[in-house]
Amino acid sequence: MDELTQSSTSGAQSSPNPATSKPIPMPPQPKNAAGQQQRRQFIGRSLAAAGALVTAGMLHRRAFAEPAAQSAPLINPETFADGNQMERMRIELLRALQKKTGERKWVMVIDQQKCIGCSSCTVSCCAENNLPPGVVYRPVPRHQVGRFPTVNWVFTPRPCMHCDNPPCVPVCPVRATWKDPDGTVVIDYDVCIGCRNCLAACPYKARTADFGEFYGQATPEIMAYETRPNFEYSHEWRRNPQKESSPIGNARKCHFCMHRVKAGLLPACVTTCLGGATYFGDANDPAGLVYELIGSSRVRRLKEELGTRPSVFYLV
Amino acid sequence: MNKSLKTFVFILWLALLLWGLSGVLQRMTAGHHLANYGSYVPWGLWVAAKIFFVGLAVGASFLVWITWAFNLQPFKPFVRTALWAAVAAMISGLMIISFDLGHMWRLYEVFTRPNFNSLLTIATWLSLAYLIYLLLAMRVAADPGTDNSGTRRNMGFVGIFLALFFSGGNGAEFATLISTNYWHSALGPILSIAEALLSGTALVLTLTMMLPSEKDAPTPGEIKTLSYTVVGLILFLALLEWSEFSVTLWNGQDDGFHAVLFGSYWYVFWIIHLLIGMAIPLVLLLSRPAHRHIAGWAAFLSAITMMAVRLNHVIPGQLTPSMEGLQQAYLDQRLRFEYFPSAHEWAIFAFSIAVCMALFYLGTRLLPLTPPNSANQGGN
Repeated sequence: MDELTQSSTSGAQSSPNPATSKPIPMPPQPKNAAGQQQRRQFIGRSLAAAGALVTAGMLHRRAFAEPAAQSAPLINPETFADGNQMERMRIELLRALQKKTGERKWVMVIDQQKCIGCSSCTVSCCAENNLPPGVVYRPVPRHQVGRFPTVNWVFTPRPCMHCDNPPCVPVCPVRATWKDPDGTVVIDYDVCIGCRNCLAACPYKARTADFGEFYGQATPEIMAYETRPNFEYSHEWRRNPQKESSPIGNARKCHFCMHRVKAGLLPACVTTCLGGATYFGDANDPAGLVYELIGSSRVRRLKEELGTRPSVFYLV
Repeated sequence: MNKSLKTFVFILWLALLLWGLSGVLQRMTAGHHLANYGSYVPWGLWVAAKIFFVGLAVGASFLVWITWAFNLQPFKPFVRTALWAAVAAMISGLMIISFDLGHMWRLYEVFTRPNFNSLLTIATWLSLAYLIYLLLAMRVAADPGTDNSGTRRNMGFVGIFLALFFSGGNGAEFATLISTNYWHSALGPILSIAEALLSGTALVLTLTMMLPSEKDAPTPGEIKTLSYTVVGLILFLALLEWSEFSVTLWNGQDDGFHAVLFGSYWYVFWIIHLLIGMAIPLVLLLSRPAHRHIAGWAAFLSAITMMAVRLNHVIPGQLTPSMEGLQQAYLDQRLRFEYFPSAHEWAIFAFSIAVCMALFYLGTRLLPLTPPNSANQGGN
């Protein structure tokens, strides 16, 4: 540091170091005519060094061309406006909404390398859907891998998998749940009898039952925020502590925020993901972000051996 | 039934009824708040009780069907008792499962918009059909005036098919769920049938103690036959359980089975089921098979402890977390892989037992459950 300070105060020249992008300090030069020759030598040496660096760089790129392409991120943020993937997904969402029902297929991609386990998706989901106690659509289970001291956390955000072969659908005795043409598994709250057969059938435990509980039920007053409606499935649902009316008594689950999606908005968990780890879009759009992501060799799906074919993909 | 036993049963019934009524009141006013099941263990005591009662109904009535289909003389004195016991148990089973529903008043939707891909739908429809069939059989059994042996034989064969299909279906309801390794077994439906036959037959043998007088009681020879039938069914169930447990645990992989044998509630399997429900009844039934009271008490132990088997069938498989870290991801009482029935749940169970007992008692008072001795010889 002292050297750098000294060189800058003495008006010394410096050259950029391509490796570190920091100026390289040069020794102070005498201010006389004879020094001109030294300056020329310096310029000559600098040009030679620059040429050597360029040549070395070209050779390096050629030598490692293939591995570099493999390890590069699938999507280069610079190719989109301000590198904003959120904006890209929103534009693609609007494009998908132009399609007819059944021509698009909603999927979610979660990059576990980017997930930092902050649970902001869980919180935003609870806020968006005004979820009561005991009902959660997107918890973030975490587990530790490795042995001390080489240990790491693995975060696996777990929304509903919206399986293509959903075990929860055929077990419903009253046809209250089905897979809609756009790939989302939905529930008709007005039909569900609350047998919880779908809860038992889901291998991911992605469904929870609304037992009619309120955060303030043991207090003198249930606060207004608990009785405010939610807008799941584009309907207004009001939970009433005085009676067991839907969605109280029902099975509930993530629905990819369909009420938001229909309005051209991304699901709440996508927009609030701090790490930018959650992607959402139309898997039938070849120009779409999720289309590219699910083509990655990093893609895994949970419990694939069960044959459920989830619509939620994980990049491991 | 002697007077002291009668008094004891009445006091027991009254206690169960009062406790049960408090539970029903709580269920109607507080919904599911007082129940301990949740979203990760969605099925608890009431579901186990439902398959317990349905098993009793199927097992008891199966005795009737084979009696009618193959004209088995030794079981004829038990026919009406068995039929009415089956009706009472079936009603109790349907009642308790309705308490378990999030929207119990929407139960009718299973009939108005059924999904026949769901085994729950099939089981519900079959429950109702079976109940109606039992009532029809009661009507046939109570008609000594006409020679309807042909009708009985036909009803017997249809009944055998219905009973096996219904009981096996109850087992398949769990066995077809891929979510839980513990349930997902091809032996599940067969075990369900074996458990139903054992509990139902044992129930009928138990009820011979409850008959109003000695003269109505079956002969020692008939009781002996029924005792040996119960012994055979105990051994058959033990064989199936040995097969299921030994194969699954050979490599020690399944957490559910491990929980049953060595978990916190190990005594449910080893003490309640194996010792009280199987070993002691076996000893008693083999030593005094023709003694009405000893055989009756032995069968009672076998029948009542079947509830432990049903609990062990429903609960342990749900206690294995489906994903590592899921329970810690979002902390809530309803989001735990732990379960023990609450007092409220036991109260509702007590209510269903009280209803079952009351229905059966009303039957003994109002219906000709014990046919005249002449009818014993051929009519039933």
